[in-house]
Amino acid sequence: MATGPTAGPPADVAARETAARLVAELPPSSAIWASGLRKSYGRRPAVEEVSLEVRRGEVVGLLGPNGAGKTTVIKMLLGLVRADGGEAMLLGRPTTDPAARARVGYLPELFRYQPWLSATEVMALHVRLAGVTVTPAEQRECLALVGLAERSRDRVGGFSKGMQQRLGLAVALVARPELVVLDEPTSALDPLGRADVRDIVLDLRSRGVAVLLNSHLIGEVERVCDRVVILDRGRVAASGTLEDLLGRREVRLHLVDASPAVHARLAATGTVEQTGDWYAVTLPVGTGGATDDDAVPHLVRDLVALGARVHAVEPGRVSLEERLLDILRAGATARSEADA
Amino acid sequence: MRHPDDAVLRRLVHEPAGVADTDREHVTACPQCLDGLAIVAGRPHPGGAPTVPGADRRDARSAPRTRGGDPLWRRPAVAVTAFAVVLAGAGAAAANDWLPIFRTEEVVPLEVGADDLVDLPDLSAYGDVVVTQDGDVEAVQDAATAAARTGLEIPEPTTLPRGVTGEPAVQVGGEVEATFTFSAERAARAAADAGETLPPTPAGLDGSQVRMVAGPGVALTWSHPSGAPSLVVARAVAPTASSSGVSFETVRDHVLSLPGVPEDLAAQLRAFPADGSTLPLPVPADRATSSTVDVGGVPATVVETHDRSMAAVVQVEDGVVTVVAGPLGADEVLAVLRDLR
Amino acid sequence: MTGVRTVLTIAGLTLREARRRRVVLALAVLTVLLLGLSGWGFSRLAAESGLDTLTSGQARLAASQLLNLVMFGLSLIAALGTAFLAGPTLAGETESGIALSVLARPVRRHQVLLGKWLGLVTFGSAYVVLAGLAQCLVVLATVDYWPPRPAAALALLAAQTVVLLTLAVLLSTVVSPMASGVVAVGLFGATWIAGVVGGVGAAFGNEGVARVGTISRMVLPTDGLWRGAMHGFQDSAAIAQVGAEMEGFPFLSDAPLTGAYLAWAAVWVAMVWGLAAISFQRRDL
Repeated sequence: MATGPTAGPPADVAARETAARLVAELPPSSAIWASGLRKSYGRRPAVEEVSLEVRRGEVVGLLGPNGAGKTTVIKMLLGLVRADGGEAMLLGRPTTDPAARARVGYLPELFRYQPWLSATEVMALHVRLAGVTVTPAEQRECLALVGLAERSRDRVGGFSKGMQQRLGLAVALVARPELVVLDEPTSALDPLGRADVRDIVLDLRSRGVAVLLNSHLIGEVERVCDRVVILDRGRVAASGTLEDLLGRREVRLHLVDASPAVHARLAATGTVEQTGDWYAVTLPVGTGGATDDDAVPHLVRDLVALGARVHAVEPGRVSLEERLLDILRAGATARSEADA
Repeated sequence: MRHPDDAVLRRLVHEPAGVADTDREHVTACPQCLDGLAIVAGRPHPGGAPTVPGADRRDARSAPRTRGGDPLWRRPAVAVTAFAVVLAGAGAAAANDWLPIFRTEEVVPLEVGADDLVDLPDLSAYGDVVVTQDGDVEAVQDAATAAARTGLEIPEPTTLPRGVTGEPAVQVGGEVEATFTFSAERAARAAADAGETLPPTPAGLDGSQVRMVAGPGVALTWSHPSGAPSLVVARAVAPTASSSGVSFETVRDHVLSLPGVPEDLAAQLRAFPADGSTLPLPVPADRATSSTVDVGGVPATVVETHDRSMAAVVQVEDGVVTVVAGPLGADEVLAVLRDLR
Repeated sequence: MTGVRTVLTIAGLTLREARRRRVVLALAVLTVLLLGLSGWGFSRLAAESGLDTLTSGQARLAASQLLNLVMFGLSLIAALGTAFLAGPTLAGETESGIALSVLARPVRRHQVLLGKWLGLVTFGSAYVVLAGLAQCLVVLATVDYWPPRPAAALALLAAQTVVLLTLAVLLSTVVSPMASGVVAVGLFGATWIAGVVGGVGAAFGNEGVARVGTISRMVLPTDGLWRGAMHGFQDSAAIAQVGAEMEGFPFLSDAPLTGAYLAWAAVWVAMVWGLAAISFQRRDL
């Protein structure tokens, strides 16, 4: 197209200025932007219409059961798997352009590095391929960060799985990335290593580096992520901040002599799960005019008034794990209903 | 550079994260695109406000795609088919000799026998040839018989090169004499057979006579037990030609200038000396090297194949040709020639 | 420029892999063994049969045939070596996951493929030329034979290696590393046999059978290039001397290659490389 896009009326200076302001005020381009990604292996769809966004400096967790398509989405973003449809951008460049990956660090789920090279040589290779200048001292620092300073001259072939994964982490971090994609970064690590990874991710966030973290360890995700995207069967089942997803709080009550009226009062508050004399009641955010803070005292006051003997009141919070299971189960139920 | 299209501008308003930085920068600097953007921004969003990132499907669909839209030649099926077609075509071309794999070249074994030395060029296509003596090449019992038959000094080396053993087979050939009468009409017919027209015949050439004489000659051949010759030593009176009237060179050069002269005949003619002074052996220049050395004060021509599996040396002295040849090195044939003197 | 850097980096990496994985060492040991054995054989040939029954020229002719026999062994080692190196270095890396972190860098896949190919070509050609030259020197020392066109012959031998290697690269983008090596070497052998069959057909004047050799030489140019190389190692005049009964013998070649065929071999390599690039480009890792 050699001519302008829209043959409209003569230019209006004010409108042009407004438009210029519109562009100028746009937030910086996202670290990851994907829209409508699709991928099938043979006739089996692996990913269907996945759209997601990771803003600059944001740490986003990618969650989902096995086979949900998390790794496929990551590989499509990095150009390792050809998408059947949809499009994606990394750091403001379309993924069809290899330069989009210039400032991206990646730790694959299947981490293997040239076994005939030393750790130092693997780092140097990746620095060369990334096309950035990183001094050997910085590369050594990077290895030290993941705890491989002692083994930097050793052949990767002699490394344990955990050490290879640490090396992979160093490789992902070495070329001054603005976006780091970690696919199951702690699968081969001991608890100490997991803590190291957590610290590294938090450090990245503090330096404004965006992170996409795919992990099975929900606790890990919960601790470091700003936002979570949950994939199920190749689709985005839910996404949002932790508050959005875990907004529901829970209170656990130990009640004796619970009358039907007491039961009714509990049910009016939220979903009730009874185990003997213990009742777990979920408290949706901001319901019934009462603020979050008042919901529990009001409930206890009413229960006492109704004659229930309250032995214990424990605050509880829905864990991300439970929430994830809820979402996945709800999805399964909806599907089975749709099938019936 | 290319202006981003309407879909990109729409996306800049409703889904800015889906616009590449290069497009953003372009629009910022391009008044034309800013005008377009102003118009797009004024319109309501076609799909309502996006709720989920990337929910702006209509824009996503209408935006230019590179994925899946590979050029035709990069589709594997197309590429494989094209390759198969080219392969089949090349195979067919080779099978029909349109694309030759090997350069065919006529390889003539370097062999010298008595019959080679007492042979005359066959000029019957260009005139009348009357053979007055035909030489009678035949095997004889021993060197003494050969000497008696030819009157030549028999070249018998006292020491033989490594690998040459046994007694030689002796062949003699008597003198060969022929008279050639050039016929312009015959030459014209030969040219017509080759599909050419005859150049004008020089005055006095038609009907002129040339007498060619070669021999007698003798050849001693040592053979390997397997039958392959391992050394040939031959001596013959060098061929000569004489004429009444037009000189032999004139006749020879004219015949050589005629179209359609067979290559081997031409080579034989070119080598045919009027005075018995030049080498009567054609040397295949592409696979042998020839050099001149001095043997006993007389120049001799040494021919050696590139891989040094064959060598020959030829010396002409007082109208007598001596040839030493065989699957030997140049130094070995030279040693034999020196030994003969 | 970044493309060139990527290609050279990967080519260097491939060469380093060959060295570190002891491919170089294994090939060197094999080659020294072959050279030693052939040196011993040639010296026996010179010492025992050469003394009284063969003239020096006949000994050299025999030497040239033995030289071709040993060269065939060398080209087989080179073929096996490079084909089985090409498999692991491409298919193996995509299978093991080494390729994941490399291809996630800002590189184009065809650049990586070109780098691998370039590294393998450098390695294979250097091996063939060095080992072939060493073999020629062994023959020169033992029986005083020097081939008529050693440079052209070694270049054709290297070209043969390049052809086979390109095929192995293509196969390794489609099938597993082991299978790619086996198929490449199998095709190499099949073409050679087809060439021999074609030669026998030509000797007996059977055009149909001769065509088998011709067509197989077009489909996979290894045998054609090999015959061209053989021609450079021995003189055709000497073969003519031996006589027509040797026609069709697989270690004799009496004709040089045409320019058209050399051009075809180059086109063939380019096309197969292109297919490999397309296949690798579309491969999901």
